[in-house]
Amino acid sequence: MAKRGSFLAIMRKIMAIKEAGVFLILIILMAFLSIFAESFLTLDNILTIVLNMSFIAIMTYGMTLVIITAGIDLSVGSILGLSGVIIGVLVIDHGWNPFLAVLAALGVASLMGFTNGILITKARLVPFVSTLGMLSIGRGLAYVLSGGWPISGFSEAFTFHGLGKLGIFPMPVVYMAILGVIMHFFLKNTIIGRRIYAVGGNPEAATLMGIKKDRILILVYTLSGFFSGFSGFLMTAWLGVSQANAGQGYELDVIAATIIGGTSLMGGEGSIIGSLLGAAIMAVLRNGLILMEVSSFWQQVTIGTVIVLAIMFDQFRRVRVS
Amino acid sequence: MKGENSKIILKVKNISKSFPGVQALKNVSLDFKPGEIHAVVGENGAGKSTLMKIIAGVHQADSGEIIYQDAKVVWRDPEDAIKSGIITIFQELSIIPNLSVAENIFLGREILNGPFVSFREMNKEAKKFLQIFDLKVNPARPAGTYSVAIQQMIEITRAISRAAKVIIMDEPTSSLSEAEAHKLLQTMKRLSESGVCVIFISHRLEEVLEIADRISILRDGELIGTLNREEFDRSKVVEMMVGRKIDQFFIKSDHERGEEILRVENLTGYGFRNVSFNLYSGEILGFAGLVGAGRTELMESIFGFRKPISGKIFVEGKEVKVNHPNDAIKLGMGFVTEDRKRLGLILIHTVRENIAYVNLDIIKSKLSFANKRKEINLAKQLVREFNIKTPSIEQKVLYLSGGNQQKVVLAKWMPKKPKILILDEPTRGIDVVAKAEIYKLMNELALQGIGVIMVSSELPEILQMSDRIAVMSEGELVDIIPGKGATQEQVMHLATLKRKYEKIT
Repeated sequence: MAKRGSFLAIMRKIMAIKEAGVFLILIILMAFLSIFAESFLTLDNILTIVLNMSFIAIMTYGMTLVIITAGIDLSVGSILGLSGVIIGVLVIDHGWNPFLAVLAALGVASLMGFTNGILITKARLVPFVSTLGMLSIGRGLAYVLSGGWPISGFSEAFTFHGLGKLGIFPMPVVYMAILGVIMHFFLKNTIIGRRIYAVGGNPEAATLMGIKKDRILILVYTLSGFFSGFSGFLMTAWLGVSQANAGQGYELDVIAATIIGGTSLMGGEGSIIGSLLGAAIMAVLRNGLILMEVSSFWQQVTIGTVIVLAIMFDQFRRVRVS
Repeated sequence: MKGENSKIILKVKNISKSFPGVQALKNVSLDFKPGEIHAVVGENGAGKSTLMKIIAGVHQADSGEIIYQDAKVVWRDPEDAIKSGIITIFQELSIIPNLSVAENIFLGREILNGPFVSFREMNKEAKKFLQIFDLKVNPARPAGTYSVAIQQMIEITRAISRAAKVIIMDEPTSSLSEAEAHKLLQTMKRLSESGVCVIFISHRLEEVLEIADRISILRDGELIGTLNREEFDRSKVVEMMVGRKIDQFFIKSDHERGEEILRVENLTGYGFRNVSFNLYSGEILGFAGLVGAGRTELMESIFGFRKPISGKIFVEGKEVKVNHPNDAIKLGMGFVTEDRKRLGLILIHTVRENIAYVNLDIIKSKLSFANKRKEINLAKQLVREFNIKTPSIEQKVLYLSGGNQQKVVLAKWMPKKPKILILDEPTRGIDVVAKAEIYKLMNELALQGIGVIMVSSELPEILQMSDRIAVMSEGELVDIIPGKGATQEQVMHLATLKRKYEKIT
């Protein structure tokens, strides 16, 4: 009895950790798939999943900050595409040093995010509208710059960042991990991170506490642009091709992963770890459904269902804990 | 007693209710008569609201029964109770601001003409009900264009139009000024005279003693007793509420007035005009006035939350520009806002976090990292010093009682060692014990040499606590009078100098 009691107490403590619910869903999903899809639980397959999720996961780092401030960024997929095209045009068409080209792409991506921030704070546009505009502008510019043609012919030194490996880990996964650790500590342990939560929890109260709300908002949208650009760089390196349509529709996956990860659309709550787990759930599900030979049409239905169920489960857990 | 029974409209018998971790009500039995104003008082957490919610069908009792009009009733939901004539007017008004007054009154029961809403009929009907209270309100105008007091009376009108027999009012006067509250109390009196049973919950003991026919006192979920009008006595009620005597309610010691630390010259902004005053360290400067006199707007402008149109602000003799609360904080100001839930706290965050936000520069270590240990110690220390009742510093402030929330709002400023502290309605909606603690604290702060500005619509605290009283009316500072010897009449006279009561079209 005593043992059982303490087991329950431990379980309750674990459940009280915000990310526990999402983690549990991931474990259940993986257990299920390892039974029903033979090749699921192999090292190769797991590495494939982690590689697949890395592009989305890196974008959730920015999206998490944005959604914590009760905002939304619909332009991430377009910024990814534009950033890839900029690298392609500069390196292949203009013969730039790839490193400088990547810096330029990240600069433009950050600038797009910064513009979102300015439009939201100074022109007082709703984030949905401002970033919806940027979604179209970014994608349009990507087509304008590339003329709609894929750009290829990158050096191996460049494609290493997408195709190369560090030990057994593909480079995008390594970047995902490094950036994840940095962003986790940035958000949880720096005073700027704390201010992001405060602004999201109650923007007016935060202002009265002396927090400069506008600066915080501009910062999070700039970072969201930056991470989208970074994902664009990695994806270009991985594919070896710059395509204007790269990352089309990714905004929905990124938002879904972030929300599954427990970041509240109402603002003030959320974490990088949660978003990583959210991205993992999406990737595991896609992979599992393919292994189980579910038609791609039904895959969409299933993924939508899981998103809704995961969020319902998380809300149920929160009510229980509080 | 048997004869009395026939006059009872509503009776609760042996009601018990528990929530996870709390026994909210223990075996409470009470009866209510038609035509009476029955006040239910108690500290926050005494179970008043829970009892009202059970009567209104929002919660179900764990045990016990409700007898209404001589029959046992079970409410499945609030709609059941409303249909039977028990209507609750909650603290948070349920007026929809952009709908017309008439639409608000008939919300959900619109008068139809065929398939269409007949606005003409509704306006006519609404007018009839509004006349009961002498309310000269245009039923076709959006309800949001009227003051909170009027909106509240529109809600009451809605209740009457639904043939209410029992009206429960939960803290109806907490957001009203003294004059407006008075108007509402008159309305309640009229209601009871027409035979409606009014159940009245309020933290303002003065008005309870003034208007109630009976007072029932709850403490820790138990009924302590019911007093009839002839037994009313302020200190007795307080004693029953807290279970002990509060020796000193208003604590004020003489403190020395120091140097001038704040001077405002001809400040004009949205809601106030040409305001000039100064504040000395070590004094409590009370700001009296009716709701809408521009006091909150003035304070928010001094603190940099709003932009003033013109005028000058001097801190310690030097002219300063305050463009953002951040500037004000750097100049040594602190601001406890009127609406603590909306402006003072981040409700979904913990006590520790709420304390940390103002003090991020204090808990900052190298590379802008927040020093978690410093942060925890700071929160623990303040929780101890301010006697904040919370299970832990990791509790969300959402779950604290009003008084404890207010203490968090106040406590968070202390590590900044402010020189000027602006308190806007610091005791609104909090219970007597917490009120007494806040008064004590204000006194201590003044003793330490802090210049305290206290905006308040409660005259007793203005008169008792202030060294000087600034009275505002319709956006202008009418006069500043010494606190010593000031009377209610004097202050009210100044506060209403310009007021031509609710301009109604």
